[in-house]
Amino acid sequence: MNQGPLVFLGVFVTLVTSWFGMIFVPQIQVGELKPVPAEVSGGLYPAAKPGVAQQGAEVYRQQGCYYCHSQQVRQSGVQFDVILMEMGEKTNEVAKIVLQANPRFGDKAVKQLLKQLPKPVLSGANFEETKKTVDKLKDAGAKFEMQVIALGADLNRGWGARRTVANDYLFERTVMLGEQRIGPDLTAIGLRRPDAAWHLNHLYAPTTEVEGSKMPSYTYLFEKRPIGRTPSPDALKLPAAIAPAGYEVVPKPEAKALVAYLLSLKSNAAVFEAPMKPEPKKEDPAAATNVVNAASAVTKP
Amino acid sequence: MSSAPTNTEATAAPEVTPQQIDASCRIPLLVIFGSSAAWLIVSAILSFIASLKFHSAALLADCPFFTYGHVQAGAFNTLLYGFIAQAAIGVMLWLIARLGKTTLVQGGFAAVGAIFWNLGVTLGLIGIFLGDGSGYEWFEFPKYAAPVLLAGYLLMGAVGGFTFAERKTTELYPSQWFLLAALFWFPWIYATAVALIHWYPAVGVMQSIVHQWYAHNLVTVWLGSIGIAAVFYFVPKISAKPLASSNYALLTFWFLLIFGGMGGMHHGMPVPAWLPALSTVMAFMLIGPALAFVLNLHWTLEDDYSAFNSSVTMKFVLAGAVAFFAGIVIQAFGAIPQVSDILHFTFFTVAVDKLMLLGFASLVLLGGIYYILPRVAGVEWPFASALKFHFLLGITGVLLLVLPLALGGAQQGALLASDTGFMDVSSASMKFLYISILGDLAWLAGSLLLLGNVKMLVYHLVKPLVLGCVTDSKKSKTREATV
Repeated sequence: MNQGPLVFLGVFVTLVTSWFGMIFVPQIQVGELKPVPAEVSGGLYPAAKPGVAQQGAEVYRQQGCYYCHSQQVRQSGVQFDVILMEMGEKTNEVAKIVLQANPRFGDKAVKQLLKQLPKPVLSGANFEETKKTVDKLKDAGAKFEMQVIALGADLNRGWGARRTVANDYLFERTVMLGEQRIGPDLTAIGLRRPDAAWHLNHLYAPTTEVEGSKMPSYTYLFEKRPIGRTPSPDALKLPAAIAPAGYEVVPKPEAKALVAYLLSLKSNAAVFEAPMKPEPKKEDPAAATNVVNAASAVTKP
Repeated sequence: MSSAPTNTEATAAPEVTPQQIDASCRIPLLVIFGSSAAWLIVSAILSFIASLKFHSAALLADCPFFTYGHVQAGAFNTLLYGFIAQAAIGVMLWLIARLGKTTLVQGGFAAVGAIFWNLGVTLGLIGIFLGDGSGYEWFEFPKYAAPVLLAGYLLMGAVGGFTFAERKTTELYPSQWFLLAALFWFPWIYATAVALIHWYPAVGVMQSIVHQWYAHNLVTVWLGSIGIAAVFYFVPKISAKPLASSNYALLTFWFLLIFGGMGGMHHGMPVPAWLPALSTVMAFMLIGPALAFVLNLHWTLEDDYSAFNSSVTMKFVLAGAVAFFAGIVIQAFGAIPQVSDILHFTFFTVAVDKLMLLGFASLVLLGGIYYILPRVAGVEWPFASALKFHFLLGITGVLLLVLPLALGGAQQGALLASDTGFMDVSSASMKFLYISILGDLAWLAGSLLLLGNVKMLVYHLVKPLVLGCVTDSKKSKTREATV
């Protein structure tokens, strides 16, 4: 029997299935995403990047920055806080519910607690626990707010305000999620390091800004030239040890564009899909290991 | 259907001898294997430079062409397209001809296709150095290199397709299923990636989905198919035992294609959650076909593993088969969300890539080249003793790259998940990276042995022709090539 056509047909069907499932269906789902009304600012999110930042994205790609830097923040789970705002009419019942949720408080402590609202009545709870309490509070007619707290190592490092979602990359011509973190994640570098001068110095001589940095220096994105009668306003303010005497170091347009791109990286708009953390702390060079404490945007139940 | 190539060849139609088939493959395979050996060196050197850059960021830092992002991309892409893909196509064409008991149809076109392919790889490498890389790992060759590569493949693939159609055997040997799948898989996935990333760029993360789908299909299904086809050919052939079970081979075949085709998205990607979830499930399902594959080999050789010592090709392909199984299993466990949270974005992913590309694909293809090239050239390997050294260096290189990077990556991931400062995490990885340099060096040394051998083989082949000395040429042609 000639099995050739049969095998060919099978291969063809398998290939079409793979293509249909992994390319065609996702294309329908995320291939036509549009900017959405932002939850907080009221504008559209995302907005297109300014032209110079778009050029900078090209420089980022050209230099292969994505080989060492990711642009993707992950979330490993969520916790919930429930904050009681008003007791409503059935005060005794509400007190009972709060006591059930926090048995270690004791009857008196709960009554004391409920005198001054709003007060958190549940914190760091999992989904089932929260749902049970929230349902009961709803039935009792109390008013409360629920906070969703995103958990994850990336968030703890302050690498982003929330996990990244498909819409964050809507206007990227090339989506450079990255494969490795030889250097830190850059999803929110524009928030962590909002200073353009820092970035220019860091690109020119990484170790002057970050001790022990393995990042190659991008001296070729800068021009070293004799200081003329009027020094360039763009010239880098380098530490004396590496500043070339009689010369100034001026960023080429590529370096400026790259920095504009880096500063544009924020991904901090509130979106429906992902719970937020407050704005990441600005990185203090002395303490690069900031852990942002858990807190989150308020979402109504 | 379950007959091994040894058996089916005994009943071959007398008109086409293996020697005639090999002769029909001579020119295209010399071009293909010769240039892939050269690209192997290029990639090994670039990879070595990239590794050195971790320890001395100042190395070649003033030269924009050789920044880390370019060297690393160059190393990956020349390895993948210059050596692995090209050698895979070469092995595929030869196997299609040998298993079909027919001469290569219009081999000249395959040689022209190979020239196009090499032109595409060269253009791609220059493009990366000039900063035209696409921004997608393993798919870095710029827009202008893609059509050249695709044209090269279509020429070589067409030769493969027509040769397959001309086969003189009615029943298909398992390797032939895999080869038929591979023949069509690559142009489809490559064209999809080129279309949706270069020509009509998809919106936002859809590009990442296309990229991951392409990269996963390329390594798991396409290279997986050709690699398994080669192993299923060489192991029974060299050990002179029929493949133990064609039913298990059938299982490997269909499940590799079905499960392998749907995967590649990692946990936490900013894409619809069902994509990573499906990928994780498929990563686990792939253990089935991979297990069936290695068990089949074990059952084939069960009574007698002595063939392992008698042939370098056997050593290469069996080591490659083990690496394939290990790679599939590790990828499955690495795809568990909680594990992926720790290990993704670390050197661990690089270790798995190296295991699949060097440990599996490269070793199997090297075994294939060492077996096929002397036969099609009609000249024995000039330095026959170098073969087993290449095997030792290759294995050493793979182990010294994969183990330190995997361990270093696990440590890196654990530290990144803790509150250790980023710079401390970075310096903690350095000792592992030092060891991996030794791996790079061993791999480079092995690759030099191959290149030296290929160069001398071509020299021996060409010398009599150049001298116009007929007697010399006859002598070298009649020499029986053995590995």
